[in-house]
Amino acid sequence: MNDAAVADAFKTYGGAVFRRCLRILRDPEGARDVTQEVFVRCFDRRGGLRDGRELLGWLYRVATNLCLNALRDRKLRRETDQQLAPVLSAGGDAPEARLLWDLLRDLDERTQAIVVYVHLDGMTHAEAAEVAQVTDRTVRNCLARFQRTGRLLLGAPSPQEESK
Amino acid sequence: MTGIPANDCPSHFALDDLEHHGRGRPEIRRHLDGCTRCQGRIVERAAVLTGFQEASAPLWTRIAARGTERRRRRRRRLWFIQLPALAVGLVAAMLVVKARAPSDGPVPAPYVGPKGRAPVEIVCRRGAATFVLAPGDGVMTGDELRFRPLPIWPDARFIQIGSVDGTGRYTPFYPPAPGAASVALPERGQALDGSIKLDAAPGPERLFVVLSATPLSEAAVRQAAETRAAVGTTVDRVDRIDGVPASTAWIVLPKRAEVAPPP
Repeated sequence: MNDAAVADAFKTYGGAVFRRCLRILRDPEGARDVTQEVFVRCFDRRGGLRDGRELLGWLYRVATNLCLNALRDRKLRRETDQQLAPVLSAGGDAPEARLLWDLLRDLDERTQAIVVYVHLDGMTHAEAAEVAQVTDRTVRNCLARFQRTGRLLLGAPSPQEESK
Repeated sequence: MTGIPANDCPSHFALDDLEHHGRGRPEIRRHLDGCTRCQGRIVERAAVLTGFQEASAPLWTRIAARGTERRRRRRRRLWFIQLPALAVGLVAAMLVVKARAPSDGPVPAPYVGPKGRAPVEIVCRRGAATFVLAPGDGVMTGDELRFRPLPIWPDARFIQIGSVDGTGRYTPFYPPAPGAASVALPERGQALDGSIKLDAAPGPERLFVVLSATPLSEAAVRQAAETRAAVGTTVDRVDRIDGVPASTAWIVLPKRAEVAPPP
């Protein structure tokens, strides 16, 4: 890809990337910032990218990782703000985004992304594997890890404990 | 924005792929035609897209500016990394070249001679006569020999000469005493100091000439000469003595018992 191809990619996929970021962050301003960063990275990597479904997958992957980073940073900032000025920080992020981060925060980054692909985007395991560039088996393992963490969060027993 | 698809609805990724690449399984299209939830999602997606397109021009301006700036910075960083690496490489190459060059004393001009020529010219003094020994000339007891090195090996800086007589005994000429090291080559065209007077040992005199870039011990050369003479090897060669590269040559001088007049 050259510079003109990156401009074309923005025209073609910019809206899709923005929609994708908005779905995770629930915040148009934050989604625009992340979309901007995604295409700046596209500029950096333009030599190794090919247009088509592969590029769309790459954009999804980078956008997801940057959104998860943004959620993590917001969480940290919120905690700091609450320590410094509890009253002023009472408002803030969309509750859905907070809930999403609360569910994901104890997982590793790859598992976080796969959970978003499958449970938020509704991707099939094959699609999630394609976008994350992992195997179907890794997708299944990551989802199982997410389930275990969710049970721990809810204080629910594991299937093995239930069967005893 | 609800966005989250139901289990049997296509993912947003599948919808994006369908929207941009016109691909998609026929069952997805059939599903979209019949699913009111997905039709709602498509309307919602289009609305988000419209909102984005209004703000996309300034966003692209920022992206292009940042992308260009980052590229410029990366090039500058690469240049800053490459320049010191280039300088270090150059210095290292110079050090290697310097280290490989012989450092003992001034480097003489390389000698180049015809192939097969002896590395020394032998001047013989017999009585009142002085003459240069030609190949095949014999020597006699009492002859005084002087040696003028004519090395053709450019790396040669030191020389040793000795002789294995008819009994197989090695006598060092240069250096003159056992336990010493090779002597430095004299200036081009000059003879080695002093002369060697041949004793009455039986012939032939097999002179062993060793040229080397660094000094060799007399003991190592003696061992090499005696070993090779014992198996009858008098082939000139470049090899190693005591681990040091050396050029060796044999000059065989028949020795006659009676005293003959000089040629």
